[in-house]
Amino acid sequence: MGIELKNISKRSEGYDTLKDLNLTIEDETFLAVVAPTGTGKTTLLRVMAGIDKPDSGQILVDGEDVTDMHVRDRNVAMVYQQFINYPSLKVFENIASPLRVSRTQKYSSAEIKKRVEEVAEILQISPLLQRLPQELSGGQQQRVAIARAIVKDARLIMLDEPLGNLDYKLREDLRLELKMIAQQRDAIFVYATPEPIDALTMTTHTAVLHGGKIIQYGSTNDVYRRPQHIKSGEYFSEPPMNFFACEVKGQEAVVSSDFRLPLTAMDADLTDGQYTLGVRAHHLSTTPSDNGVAASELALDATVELAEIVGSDTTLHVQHGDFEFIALTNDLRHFELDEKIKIYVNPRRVHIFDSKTGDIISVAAEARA
Amino acid sequence: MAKIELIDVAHAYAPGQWAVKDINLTWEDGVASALLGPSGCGKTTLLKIISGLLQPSQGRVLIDGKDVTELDPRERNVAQVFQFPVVYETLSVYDNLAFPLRNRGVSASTVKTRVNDVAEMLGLTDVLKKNANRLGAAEKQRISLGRGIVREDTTAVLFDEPLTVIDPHMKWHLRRQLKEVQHRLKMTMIYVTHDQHEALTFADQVTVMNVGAALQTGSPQDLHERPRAPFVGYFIGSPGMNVFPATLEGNTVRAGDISVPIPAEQASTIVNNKLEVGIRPEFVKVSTEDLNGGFKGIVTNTHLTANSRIVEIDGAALVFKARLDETSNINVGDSVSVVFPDENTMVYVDEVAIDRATEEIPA
Amino acid sequence: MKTVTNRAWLFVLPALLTMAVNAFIPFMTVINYSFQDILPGLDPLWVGLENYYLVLQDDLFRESFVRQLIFSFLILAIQVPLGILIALGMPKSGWQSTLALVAVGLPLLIPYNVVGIIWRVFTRSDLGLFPLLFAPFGYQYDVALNRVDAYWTVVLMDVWHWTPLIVLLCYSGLNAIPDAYYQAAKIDGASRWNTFRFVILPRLRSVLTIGILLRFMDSFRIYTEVFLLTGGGPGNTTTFLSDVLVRKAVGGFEFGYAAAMSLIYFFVILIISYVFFLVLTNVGTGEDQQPAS
Repeated sequence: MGIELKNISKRSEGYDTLKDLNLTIEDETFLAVVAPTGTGKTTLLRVMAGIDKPDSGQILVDGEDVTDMHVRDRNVAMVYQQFINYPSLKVFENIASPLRVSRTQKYSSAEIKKRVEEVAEILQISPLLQRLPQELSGGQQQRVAIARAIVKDARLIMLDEPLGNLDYKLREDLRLELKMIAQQRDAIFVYATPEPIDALTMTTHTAVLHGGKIIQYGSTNDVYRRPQHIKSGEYFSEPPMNFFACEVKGQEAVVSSDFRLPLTAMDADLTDGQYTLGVRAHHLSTTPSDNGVAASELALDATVELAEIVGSDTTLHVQHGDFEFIALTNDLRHFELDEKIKIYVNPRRVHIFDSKTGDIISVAAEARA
Repeated sequence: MAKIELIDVAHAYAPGQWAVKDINLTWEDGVASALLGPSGCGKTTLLKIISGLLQPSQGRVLIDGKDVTELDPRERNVAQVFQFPVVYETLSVYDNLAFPLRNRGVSASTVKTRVNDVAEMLGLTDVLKKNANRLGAAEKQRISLGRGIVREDTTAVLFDEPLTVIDPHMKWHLRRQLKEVQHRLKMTMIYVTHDQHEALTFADQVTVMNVGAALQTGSPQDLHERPRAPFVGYFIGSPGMNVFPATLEGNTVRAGDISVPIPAEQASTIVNNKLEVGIRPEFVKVSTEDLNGGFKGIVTNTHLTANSRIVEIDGAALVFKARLDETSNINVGDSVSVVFPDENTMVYVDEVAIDRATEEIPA
Repeated sequence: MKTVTNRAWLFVLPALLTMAVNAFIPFMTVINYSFQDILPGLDPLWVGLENYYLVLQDDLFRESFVRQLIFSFLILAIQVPLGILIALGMPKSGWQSTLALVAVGLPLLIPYNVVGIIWRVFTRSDLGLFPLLFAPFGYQYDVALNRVDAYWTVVLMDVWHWTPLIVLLCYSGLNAIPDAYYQAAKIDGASRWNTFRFVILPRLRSVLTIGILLRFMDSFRIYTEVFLLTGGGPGNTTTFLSDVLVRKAVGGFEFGYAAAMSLIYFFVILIISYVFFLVLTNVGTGEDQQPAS
């Protein structure tokens, strides 16, 4: 059982936002829909929730066709990036509102009180129940909106970039809370976000949306480790995956005169031609690795453009010849602007994509199951 | 270009309600620094006190040793770049950059050389003739910065979350440019933000603030390795530091079943103070094999980040996080051996770190 | 990502119907009238463009048209700077600002005819305020006989009645300017005039555009207050376009002629307002202002 989208198409503003999209979400899934801003994530969520009708295709919930069913009869809840609460209602009434207007079930006022207090407890907003939304901080307002979404036993809970407008640390805290909430609830959670970290921290499954289709779907770990398409690697990667156009000639993949990787080291079997190499930022190292593969590791001369400190990591923007790319170290390190360093490329961590179609040709040796 | 000092600065917007308190900070000439803290921590108040838009209720502001507490922004020559780009929208980029100079009656030929120099440095040469209002947010912020650095007598440039409205893809270019300009001009720059990423990337010297107090000033590495307050440990680094309530037994601080020895002279001063032990997730050593001096724990939860795996461990009567390599195959339910390395374990008395080093006596 | 459905028309329908009854149907009727001679008791007679031709030949129309233009530009020249100055001087927050808003806004709440009567009382030669004020200086103020007195009194009345509109618009515009702009100007060492010229004025442009257009169009409609105060005299000194129109239509029963005149009048306002709009929105940058953030 679960939710099934069959051949969903939806045009909006003259574009095919969703095009013949298929997706099956099993029960107890916490799904991340990952794609850059403005590529149809919101449309997909709205169609899934029943706020918008697809132009064609079918939506099945537990095997039942709900395509034409009105959103109010569908038992879904939604949280948006903007903090949307009824401004004239106290926090308690805001959270209680879905129970009061529910068409599918009637709740007694004792039941409402119990449920509201319960979710307020989970979201740590119990002391705020008698306040008005405008008296709360952004983080608190979003907690109220999330509480409202989980207060009734919705079958499907949609979250459209709910943390997008919050501070870094607050986001970090709320991610863990949302993960815990999802683990405790018997509902399907769908979370749209352009930020891979959201998907990695919280979700069980990830779907990557590109060109109106789901280009990859699977367990979050699997989608992250083994991208099936160049866009999967690009979208589901923070910082973005580095791509290099290369030509395979004989036993070597040549990016530039001093950037060559032997196919044997990559453990890849390729016919001659044009390919695109993809390397995640944290797979480019500033120090040689100390295990046995070090011998085939390639050292590139690079110039530091900028070192950015993110959390407990350092993101390095570097330049090598005409190439600009990004490396990520898992510590806090100081680099001068224009410092000369070495960047080590481990051939066993390089994904190879078809230059034309973007399809994966060979997953990095190290990530193969 | 100048050294800025705040001496015993405090400010209350309403009587008794201190927005900032007991602030003693020094920014040496030419330093790239940041004021970092959550919203409402008092960093914007401090910024206004430095620029002269606000008179502190108490304390003094010195620029190059000269008391400027009573002077208004015009006389302090402190420039500022605001959160939302401020340009004079009816003027061209050139006239915008020339504006602060012309207001001070600088000669036309000097204006020309200065504006052209600054435009060159900020990559605005091609758009000098354009109307400032027609440009994107990133260029407008460059103009704001340009107006600050165009004057030769500018003592410091203050930034108030300057990248808020910049497109995410443009941000790092602007960050690099800010750093470049700072390096080239060696100008005192103070960058105010709630975003640790912005602060640590820009600054060589970061001051962390919370509820009106300056908690710690140091390099990003200092703040990360030796947070002087539990809040610094929480606010910097991701995930934040593990902090446990603790008690004192002789010369040993105990948190759960963990014992941390502290120097006797430190222990003797502790009476009824609040004690805490802290360790960062990235410093916790975890292995499926027995570690020397390790204790047993059970993995209760796990999640990924871009380059690592965060595990939650229940052990030694504590619950804490540890950061492991992404390839580590430790999973929920696994029994593991854990070590808190002594050099990375912090002890806090009333939320201030104590010096645990016994071999050297602090001066 | 919006879906267009036919249901949307249902929501606009009441507005469309109101528009039709209020604007479209009367407008078509007036156009129809303007091509005919309509006199009471006689069948309408189709005369083509004859009415338009006559209107343009009419000295009274031409004179009052010129008078109207001078009057409109004069009151704009007074009301706009005065309105900005008052708005700049008003307190920005607290009870003082509420009080100031009410005090300034009061004239706007008074109906046109009451305004006329008030000023009529002010200017009465037997017990009015104005003659009394000027008497000590040996000047005999007389709105009924002295052309100059009549003219400036009408101007003063309009300034008193309508400057508050400009004040309120500018006040709201001023309050929408983020503090950072003033701070930046301060830091850049801008003088008060430069701050006004480069920070405030550009940011008031959109409200001033609205204010100037409203005041301009509205000044063309001036009728009631002047009618009650001076009756258009002495002579034709204060006879503006609406007055002429009403005299033709109501007094002279020349509906066709009046219709043609009102259409000419309408197009004149439309064209001048459009020119104003173009000029005001293109001054400086040639593009619309960004919303204040």
